[in-house]
Parts: sequence; structure tokens; C-alpha cells
Amino acid sequence: MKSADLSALSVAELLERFAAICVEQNKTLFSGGYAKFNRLFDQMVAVENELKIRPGDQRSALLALFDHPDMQVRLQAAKLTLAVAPEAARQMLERIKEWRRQPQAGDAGMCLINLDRGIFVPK
Amino acid sequence: VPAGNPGGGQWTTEGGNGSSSNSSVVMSDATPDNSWKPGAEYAANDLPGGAQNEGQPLGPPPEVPDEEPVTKQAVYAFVWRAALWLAGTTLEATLGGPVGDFVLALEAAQWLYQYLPLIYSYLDEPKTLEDLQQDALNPQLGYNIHHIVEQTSAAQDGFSSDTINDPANLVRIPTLKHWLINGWYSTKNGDFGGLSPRDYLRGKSWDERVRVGKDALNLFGVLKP
Repeated sequence: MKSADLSALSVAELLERFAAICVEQNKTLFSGGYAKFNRLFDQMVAVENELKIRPGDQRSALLALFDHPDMQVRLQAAKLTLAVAPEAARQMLERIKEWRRQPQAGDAGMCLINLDRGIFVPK
Repeated sequence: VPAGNPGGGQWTTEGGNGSSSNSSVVMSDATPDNSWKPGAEYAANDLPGGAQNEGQPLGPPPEVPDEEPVTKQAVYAFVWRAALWLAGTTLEATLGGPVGDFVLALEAAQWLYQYLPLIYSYLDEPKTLEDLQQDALNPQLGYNIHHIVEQTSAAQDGFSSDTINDPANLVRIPTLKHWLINGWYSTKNGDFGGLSPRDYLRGKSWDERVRVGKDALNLFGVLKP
């Protein structure tokens, strides 16, 4: 879906699309389909950017995905809300790390390290 | 590396990984990127990476097929599901009940014999760096020899073969964990500026590569904190 098309979607529809993309990402992590993952990552970023430019920066709407049944959805939602809801997002990342469900636990842990070292500065 | 196996990626033929073993299951620093698409075989609520064990009952184990699935994709889909289900069980649960029954079913399936090391090694507790390095001298089924600093990108950045294949850079880790770590290195990541960790490390120092490599081993449950 092109960014022009994304602009026609409601925030709820953007969340739905975000979650669907992350669920697909998760499948590729166990299949070795990393080229596909990277395409899905770009699609996810496009949705993030669309939320970001909405009035009031609607990335905070991603907080609603923190109880999604798919761990990859929670992980990406947490990373992308760090700029707008840092405390809740960081808590979510720490919980994912503690659950030790791989590969999301490892990625969440590395995200926390990158935050602490200043490698990752959410914007 | 068996066809359809996520380990059968573009660098499978590289060699130079310090192994004296010929077993295709034992090792490879291969980075998977093949056509295996197991997602279609999972029910929507039974994804390998789902959150079903987050404070919730684990649910029943995957059903062990009587016969080997026709495709390697289906074989490895089952291997993942079995390993992840067992990893989600508690120590108490291993004393009997469904876990014991599931292990018996795994052992009884003759076709699974060659894949059991992959499943069981996934359950290894984290080890010290010294132990992992020592293990690298003793290749085993179900494990890969892993370069803490990735070998291909390090070579492309001019690090010598002696440095890359130094025993200090080699550890033996469970194959499924190896695949997960390779996947993490290969995929775009928001906290590396949208680059994959592998691309982020291009041009970085050896020390920075070691730091990221050890952090990855730790966070993926291979290396003791």
C-alpha cells in the first residue's frame, strides 16, 4: 500500500494494518525469509510515519497493541512508542525481555541496551 | 545443510568455520534466506512467536506426525514448534504429565531421530563464554560453530582470517539459537537506525563487533550474563 493510500485510512485502520504487518514479520523470522521481513519493515515504517504526521502525533495509539497476542506486534509497538510514551514503552520492552520468548526477547533486550548507550534515540 | 532448512542460506558453502565435522546438521554460519514459508501451516493462534505462554496456560503440545512430513518446510516447522513448546514449559512440568508424554512421542517417531538434537539443544541453559569456546573444539549434532564477530562482513571490512577464526571468536551454540541470531543480524531494526545489525556494524571496530556479538549471545539465551 502506497503512502498516499495510507493517508486515507483511519487511525484504527492504520493500527490494524500495523498489526497485520508485524504478524507477517513474525512468520518470516522462523522461515528464513529475511528479504520479506525487510520489505515488511519498510511497510511498517510507512504506517508509523503516517501516524506520526497525524494531528497530535497518533503513534501513541500503538499503545493499544501492547496486549496483542503476537509478541512481534507488541515489540514493534513498544519500540515505536518510545518517543511519545517512553515510560510505558520501556516497561513493555522490559516485560518482553523477561518473558524470554525468542526472538522478541533478545531484540527487546538489545533495544534497551541501545537506548542506554545512546545508539538509539527515539524521535 | 538439508534443503529447505533455514540454515541452507547463501553462505552455506563458505567453510573456514573451524569444524572438523562433515555433518550438515552440526554446523554452518549460514544466513537463511530461502523459500521456506511455514506460516501457512500454523493456526493463527499457534504462531511460534506468539504470546501464548505469557502467564497463560501453555496449551497442548504440537501433534507429532506419524510419518515424516513431505516437505522440509513442514519438518522444520514442526521442529520449531516442538522446541518452542518445550522451552515454554516449567521445570515442574517436566516431572510428568504432558511434557513427559510429548517427549515419549518425540522419541517414538523414528523419522524425528535426526532432528531431536535440534530440539533438545534449544533447551540448553546459558553457559559461560569459556565453556562455549571450549565446546567449539567438540562439534556435536544439534549445534553450530558460531563466530561471535560475523565472519563474512568482518572479512569484507578487512579483518584477517586469523583474527576472524581465532578460537576466542568461536563458540558452539544450539543450531536453532544460531538461526535466530543470524536472523536478528540480517533484518532491519529500528534501534539501529533502520539498518540491520549487520549493516550497522559495517566499518565499526572489532571491539564494537565483539560487544554486539556477546550481547546477542546473552540476550538470546546462549551466554550467561
